Amino acid sequence: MTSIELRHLTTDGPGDRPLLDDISLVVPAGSTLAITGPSGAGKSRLLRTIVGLDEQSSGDVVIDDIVVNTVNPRGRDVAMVFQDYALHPHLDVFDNLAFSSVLRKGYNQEALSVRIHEVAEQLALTDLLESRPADLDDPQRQRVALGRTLVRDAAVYLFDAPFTAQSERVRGHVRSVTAQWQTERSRTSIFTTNDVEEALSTADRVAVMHQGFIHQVGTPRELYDHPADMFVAGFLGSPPMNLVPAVPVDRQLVTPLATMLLDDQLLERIGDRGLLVAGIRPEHCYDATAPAGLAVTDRVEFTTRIDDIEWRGSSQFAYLGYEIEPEVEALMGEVEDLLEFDLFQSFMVAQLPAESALRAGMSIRVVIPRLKVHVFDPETGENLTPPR
Amino acid sequence: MTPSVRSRLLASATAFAMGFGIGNYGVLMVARPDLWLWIAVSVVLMATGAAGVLFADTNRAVSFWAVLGGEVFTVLTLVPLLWTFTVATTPEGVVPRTVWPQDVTWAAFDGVVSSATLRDAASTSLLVAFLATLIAMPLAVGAAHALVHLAAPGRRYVYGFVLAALLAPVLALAGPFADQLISFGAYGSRLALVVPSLVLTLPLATWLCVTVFRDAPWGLLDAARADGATRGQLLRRFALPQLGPGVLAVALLVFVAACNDFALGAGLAPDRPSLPLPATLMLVSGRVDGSATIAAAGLLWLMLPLALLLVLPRRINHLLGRSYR
Repeated sequence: MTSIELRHLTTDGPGDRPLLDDISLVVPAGSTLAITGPSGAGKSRLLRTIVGLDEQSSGDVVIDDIVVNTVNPRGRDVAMVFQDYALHPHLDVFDNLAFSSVLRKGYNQEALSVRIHEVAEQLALTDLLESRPADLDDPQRQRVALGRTLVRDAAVYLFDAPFTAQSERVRGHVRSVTAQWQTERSRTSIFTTNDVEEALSTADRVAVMHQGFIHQVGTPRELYDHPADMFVAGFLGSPPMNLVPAVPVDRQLVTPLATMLLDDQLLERIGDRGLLVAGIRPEHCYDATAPAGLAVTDRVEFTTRIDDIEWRGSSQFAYLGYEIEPEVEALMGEVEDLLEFDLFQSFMVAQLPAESALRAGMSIRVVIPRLKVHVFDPETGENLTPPR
Repeated sequence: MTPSVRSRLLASATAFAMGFGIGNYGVLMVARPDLWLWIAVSVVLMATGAAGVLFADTNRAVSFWAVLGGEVFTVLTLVPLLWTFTVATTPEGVVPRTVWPQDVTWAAFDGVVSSATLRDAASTSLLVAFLATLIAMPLAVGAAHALVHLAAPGRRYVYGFVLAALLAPVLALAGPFADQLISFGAYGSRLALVVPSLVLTLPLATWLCVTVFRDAPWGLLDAARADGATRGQLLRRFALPQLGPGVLAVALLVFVAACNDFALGAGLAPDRPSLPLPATLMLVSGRVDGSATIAAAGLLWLMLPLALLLVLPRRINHLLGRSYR
C-alpha cells in the first residue's frame, strides 16, 4: 500500500496565473481521491505532474514518504489512464491491455494472459481482444485504456476522466468494476472528473479544483454540508446551491426573498461586512404546506410567485425569480469574472416533491431550515457559517 | 435551378463541347491509328457531358468539374508517356509518325541495359542520391523534432528558411559549387556531387519529416513513458511503429527526388563521366544510340517513382497531399 502526498506543488504558467497553484494534498494508502472541477481547472496537469511527465516549478511530489521530484516516470511506478485513451493503433486490444505490463522484466506471461482475459470479461471487451483501436467506438476505447491500467500492478493509479465516454447505463457498471478492483487490494488512486455526482459517489475524499487551485479537500459529506467557499458551494450539487445577495441589518440578514435571524456566533464572524451572499441548497427549500415543510421548526419563510416549473420524475424544480440592485449585480459580476465561473442567477431553485401540484404563475410559501443557510463573504468567497 | 445544378450543367456542356471539338478535329485532320485515340478521348468527354446532364439534379456527391479536370489531367499525362513509349519502341532508322506505337521493337531497352554510358550514369545517380539521402535523413529527423517539439524562439523563421531553400533555384547554386569543387580539385568526381545534392535533399527531407512529426500521436509517447518504458523501449515500441513508416517514406521520396535531379548534375559535371542519368539523357544524346534509347532509359528510370507510389501510395499521398485532406 502506497500513499501520495503533494507539498506546495506549483507550476508557473505562461501568464501571471500559475497552472498549479500551491497544491498540498494527502492521499492516504488504500484510499481514493476524486479531483473535480470545471474544464481547464488543471486536473490533468496535476496528474501528469504526479506521474512525472510534467515538471513542477516548485514543491514536492511524495510517493510512499519518498520525494520523487527527480525520479523518472518508470521509477515512480504510477499507472495512468489518459483522457485521450492513448491506445497504440498498430496493436490489437489484447496487446494494448498487455502493453504497460510487458515493459517490465520478469512478468509471468501466463498469469498476465489470465489477468487480461479477466479484465476484458469485466469490461465487456472479450469479443474485441483481436480488434484494433480504429475498429472500436469511443466507449470501447476508453474501456481498453482503463483495462490497461487495471491489468498492471503499480504502486499508485491515476485516472484522468476515466468514465466520460461511457453511456449512462454502462457508466455505473464500469465504475463498480473499478471500485471493486480498488478495494480488493486496497489500492491508492486518484481520479479526475467533471461530473460532481460521480466524484461524490465514488471517492473516499474529494478535492475541488479550479484555476489550478484546490479550493477544498474532504469527504464528500464534509464538502457538501460545509463548502469552504462560494466556488465549492456553487460547483457541488445538481442543481448547485442557490447563491443570493444578502445584507445584514441589525441582527437580521435581508435577502431579496426572505429575512432571517442571525445568531451571535455568525454575527460575530460577519463583523462589519456590508454585503454578503446567502447560500441555500435547492433540496432545503420546502413547500410550507407539505409535511416536510410543517416539520421545520427553526425556519426562514417567504411567499413568492413560481416563475417556472421543471418536472423531473422523482422531483420537480420550482424557479423563483427575484430582483437585485444594479450595483449589487455589478459586484456579483466582478466576482464571477474573477472566478471565471457562472455562480449567480436572478432566480432561486427549489427542489420539491414530484407529487406537489405546482404550476407556473401560482404563489408558493417556501420554508427553509435556518441552520441550513450558509453565509459567504463575496470578496474572499469564505464560508462564514460555523460548522454545525 | 440551384447553383450546384447550374454548375454541373455548365461542366457537362464544357465536357461535351470539348469532346465534340476533339472528335471532329480527329476525324477531319488525324490519320489512323491516332484517329482512334482522338475518338476515344472525344467519346469519354461527351459521355461525361451526358452523365453530367443525367446526374445534374440528383444528390450524388460528385463534382463534374473534378471529373472533367481528372480526365484532362489523365490525357495530358498519358499522351506524353505514350509518345515516349512509341519513340522507345520504334525500330532503328524509322521516324515515328504516330503517337500510337506501330512496329514495336524492344531493342532500345536492350541498348539501355548494355550501354556503359547509361549504366555509369544510372549508378552515379543512385550512389549520389543514396549518400545524399543517408546524410540528410538523420539531420532532417533531428531538425524536424526540434521544429515540432522544442519551444525555441524563432523556429517559425527556421521553418520558413527550410521552405525557402526548397524553393530556391538549384541551378543558380551550380556555378558557385563548381568553383568550390574546382578549387578542391574534386570537380568531376562522383562523390563531389553528394554535398551539393544536400541542397536539395536536406530541406526536402526536413520539410517532409516535419509533416510526419507533426502528425505523430505524441500522446502515446507520454503514455508509454508513464507506463515505465525505458529509452530503448520508447524507440522500439513508440518511435519505430509510429514514426518509422513515415520516415521511411520520406527517405524514399527524397531518394527519388535526388535521383531525378537534373540541374546540379548538369551544372557540376557537364562533360565528365560522372554525369548523373537525368543530365545524361539531356546532354549526351550523341554518345548513345539515338532517341529510342534515351526514351527507353527515361521510361525505365520512371519505374523508380512508380514503384514508390505502388509500394507506399497512402503514405506518399498523406505526406504530399496533407493539406487537401
